[in-house]
Amino acid sequence: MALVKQKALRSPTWWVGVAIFLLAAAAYLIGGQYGRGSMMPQLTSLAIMALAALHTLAGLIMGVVADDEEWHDAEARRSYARARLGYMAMAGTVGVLVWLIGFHVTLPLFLLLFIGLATGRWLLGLVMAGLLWGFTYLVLAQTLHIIFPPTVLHRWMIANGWF
Amino acid sequence: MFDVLNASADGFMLLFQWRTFLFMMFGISLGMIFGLIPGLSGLTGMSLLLPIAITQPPEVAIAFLLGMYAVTTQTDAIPAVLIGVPGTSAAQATYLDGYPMAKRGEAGRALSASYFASVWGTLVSVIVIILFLPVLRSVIDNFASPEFFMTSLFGLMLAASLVGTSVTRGLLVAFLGLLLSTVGFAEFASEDRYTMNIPYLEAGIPIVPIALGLFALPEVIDMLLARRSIAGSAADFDPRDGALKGFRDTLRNRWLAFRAGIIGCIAGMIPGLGGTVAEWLSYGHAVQSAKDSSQFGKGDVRGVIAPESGVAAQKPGALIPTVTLGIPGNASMAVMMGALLIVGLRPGPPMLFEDLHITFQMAWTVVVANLIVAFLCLWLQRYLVLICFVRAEIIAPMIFCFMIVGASMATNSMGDVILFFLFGAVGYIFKHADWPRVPLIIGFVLGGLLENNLWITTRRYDAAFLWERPIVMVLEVLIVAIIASIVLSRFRKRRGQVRPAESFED
Repeated sequence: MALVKQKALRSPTWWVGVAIFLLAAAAYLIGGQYGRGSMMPQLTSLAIMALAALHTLAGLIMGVVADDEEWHDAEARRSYARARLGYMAMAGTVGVLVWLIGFHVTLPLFLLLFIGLATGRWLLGLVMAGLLWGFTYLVLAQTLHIIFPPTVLHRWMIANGWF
Repeated sequence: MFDVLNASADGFMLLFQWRTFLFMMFGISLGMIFGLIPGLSGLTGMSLLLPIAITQPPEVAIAFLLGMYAVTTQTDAIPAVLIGVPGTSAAQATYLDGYPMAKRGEAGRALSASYFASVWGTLVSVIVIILFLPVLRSVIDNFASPEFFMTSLFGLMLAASLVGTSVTRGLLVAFLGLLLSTVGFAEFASEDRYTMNIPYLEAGIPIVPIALGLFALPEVIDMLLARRSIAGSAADFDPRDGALKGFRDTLRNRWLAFRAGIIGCIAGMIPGLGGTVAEWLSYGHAVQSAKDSSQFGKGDVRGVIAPESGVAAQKPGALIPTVTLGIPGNASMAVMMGALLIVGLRPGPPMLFEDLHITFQMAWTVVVANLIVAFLCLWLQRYLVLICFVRAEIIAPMIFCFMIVGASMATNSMGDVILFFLFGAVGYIFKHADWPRVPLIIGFVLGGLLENNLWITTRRYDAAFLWERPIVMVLEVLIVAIIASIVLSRFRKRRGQVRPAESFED
């Protein structure tokens, strides 16, 4: 990472500033609907809009100074971006599966598959998955009585008379 | 003064009666586990142990509950430093510098510094209480909504001092945190704000999924992309060396830890501020007071010492309003107050006179528990830090699973998981687009306090509160000084460091 000066339209830093400005503008408009509780949201949104406008304009005129990753060739950057997207998609998939079928099934299964596929050490994956299941189900759910949120599958099973 | 010293000595001796000590050790063991598990906190532990505690005599119940509660913020530094998961909101500042230290192979040093800073912080806090109890009481008594409002604003300005490359971005993100804190049901206005008719959002956004998403998820993804363990190679790693270094670091920075301890103690005494604010104020102070603050956020040991000392000192401090005024400083103290009432103690002025030794027993429990845990953790450290050398493909998915479980425990709702992923994406974008993430959390934590007190202040007082109240005026001067120092230091720092972007893009 190093401090670099980028052109505004090519800088992700600048675009994040624009997105924050739009978010604050929406928050300001919605905040107007609230009666006595509108003071703080509107004041804060105004402050954000003013600062974001300053950041956007300054970026357009003088460029954006940001701590950016150093790349030596475009291909390395592209392959890194692909891998990054892959991991983000994987994380999102796990999230969706947790919502659909729950923690006690999804997480140990994910752990087993990930460790098995990434390292080829399926036995280790199985042990880790077992430990995780033991922790979430036996320790948290059964011993400490921590209630995990109901999943889509759970609700569907209740609705269909499985429980 | 002599009666205070006598009561302090009596309270200390009370702790070493065999039954009291045994229950304290039991509480400590459970507290260590609650601190280690991301998502569980002192409040969870307090609630779970309350039914056992109330069957015991007052001094035993106190040692049991406080023994557990005192050490949760000490062991929650372990997952924050070792695997980058700040499981409780009180470990977030420690994570900022502790985790980069672990990445450099200095996990042992960071952990050791955090244990000793905690012990030092609690000790400072108890000494401050013993020496300044009468003065502090009168200061705290003078805290009304204008003072609370200015304290929150002061905290927000400290947050702005934790910016990365740009002051504008730091302030913007801090205000974004404030805006986020307005989501949910506003009690004073009796209306929902930004809830989009989603029942989950009515109670407001919980902090744990935000913190885990913003800080921990981007680290796990980057760890997998880099395909290396947290700390790289284990070849030249010596845990004993790290432990000694951490101890020496705490000694070297004893005055910083001392000041952070005082900040934590005072923050604890002011109801509503709590451990998270104490920790961030201490961290902000460390950054502000450092001659060279360039390494903060990249693995500066002072970034571990100050917040750990502050958050540990907050606990004895929080006991003061709880036991002397009957005003619990936070949710855990509210449970503690309930326990005191059940075992037959009356929080209020009697705790400063006839039951003063019990008040001191509470404060000493926190100190002794921290000391015991510091040595226990040092002993276990050589095994714990090995986590940092496990391959990314094994440790990263494990951390990821713990993060999801930890996030879901905020309100036991699927909304927590969704928020975790949402803020994970925001955190990743912020991290790689050079937007600071810390001010967002501080703005969010202070938002509720700031808004409630602004609301009361604007209705109860006229503008004269700005120049008629001495504590407000002191805070105003401090705020102006912070703004001036931020602007000056940023201009100095930026000069000569910037170079054009890589040309291959064009």
